[in-house]
Amino acid sequence: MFAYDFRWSTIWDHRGDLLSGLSLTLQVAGLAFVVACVLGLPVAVARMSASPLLNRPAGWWIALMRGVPLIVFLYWLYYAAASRGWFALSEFRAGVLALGLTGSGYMAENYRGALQSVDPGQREAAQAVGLGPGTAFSSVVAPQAVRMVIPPAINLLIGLLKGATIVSVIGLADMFYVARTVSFETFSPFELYTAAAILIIGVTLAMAMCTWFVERFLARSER
Amino acid sequence: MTHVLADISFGPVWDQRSLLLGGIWLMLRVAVVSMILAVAVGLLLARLRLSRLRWVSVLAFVLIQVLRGVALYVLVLWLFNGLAVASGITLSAVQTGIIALSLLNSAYLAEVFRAGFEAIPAGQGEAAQAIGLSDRQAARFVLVPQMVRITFPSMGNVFVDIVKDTAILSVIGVSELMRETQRWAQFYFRSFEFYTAAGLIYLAIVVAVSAGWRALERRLRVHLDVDTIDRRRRWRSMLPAADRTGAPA
Repeated sequence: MFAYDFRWSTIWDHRGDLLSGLSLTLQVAGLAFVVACVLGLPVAVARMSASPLLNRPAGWWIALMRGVPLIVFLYWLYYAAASRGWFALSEFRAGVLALGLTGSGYMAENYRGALQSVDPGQREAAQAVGLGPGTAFSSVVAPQAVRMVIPPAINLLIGLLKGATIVSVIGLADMFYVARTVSFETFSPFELYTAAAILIIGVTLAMAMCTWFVERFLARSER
Repeated sequence: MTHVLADISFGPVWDQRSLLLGGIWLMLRVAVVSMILAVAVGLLLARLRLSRLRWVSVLAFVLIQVLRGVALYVLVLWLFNGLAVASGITLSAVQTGIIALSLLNSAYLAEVFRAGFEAIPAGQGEAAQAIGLSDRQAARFVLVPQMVRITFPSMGNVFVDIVKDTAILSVIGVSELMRETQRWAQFYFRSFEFYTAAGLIYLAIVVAVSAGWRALERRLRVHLDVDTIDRRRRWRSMLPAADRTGAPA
């Protein structure tokens, strides 16, 4: 029976690599969130359009982005597109794009849910008191919708952060990549994987706690 | 410069159809077993969460929140490369995958079930007690059946997520669809064809599973009266706002 030799000092010895790995994961998730928010809005607007020329393709986009696993997108963008010579992305960009695209499908639904949760009477009333359609949207509908979209948007950010851990499969030097490569030399996978897991779970939990406070803050004016 | 679509051939994908189908079959089996275990553990966690003992309820709450913060990829790697090596417990890749998938999703289901139980009017439990049912009988014949009908659509979302998430198990070598795809894409140097095919297969399976779940839901709705639909609305308003829409897996 072999005994595992615990050497917790390996974590401290490689703290620099682990922390820069964590920073990479956070960057990927953060940038992907921006991509998702920007790309999701036109998709949501198209999805809500009365014209089938707009809402059908938007529906397909959402189904595609939500139906295909993230890891498949990642491999497709990193290996498949490059093998055709269409475009070659760095690991970092492939990660941001894959996460951002999948996120756009979810974010579009978040925007749509938020916009539809605003009572149509609000817009009608705004127009009845003489506001133009643009002003009615920007100063009556949008401020109410934004409050509704914040909690699911933070939830999406947490989801993207969890998803961003996968990016090491295409070779981005995040914490799990560091844990794997360093444990080849030191043979201490348990310590390194545990450290990496605790760090990323800590960040996710901290963000989840933010949602509770934000939800409570937003609910304060609701009756 | 050659045309962007020149020299695309899906022939190799078709040649390997039996192994890819084997990958799909394994993926579906893993997903179904994980879902069953996740429902069982989820019910247990929801029961603990609703316990009258404050410390039990708080402990269950903390456990649920922590599990919800864990990424599947992280748990799978930790179990397979970390814990297994340190403890000497050797689990197969498939077993590790099923444990990780069911554990993480049980936490989601626990919150869904908890809100579902709370959406049932208190009168139902009181009436069950009044006609002499034991706590266990009341749960089995009165409360759980109503909770299942209320939360059924959300259970479907969790199942679809589990099906999609099996793709992550490829990283520890479970030879499900994604693993088979990677293997043959490298073998033939045909990344584009194999990954495109895999994406479309996943999409088709997800669409089919969602449609199948909705068909099940319609069959359940035979017994679904206006009250239950109203309870489902109450239940949704009891979920944290962030849970009313999904996040990517």
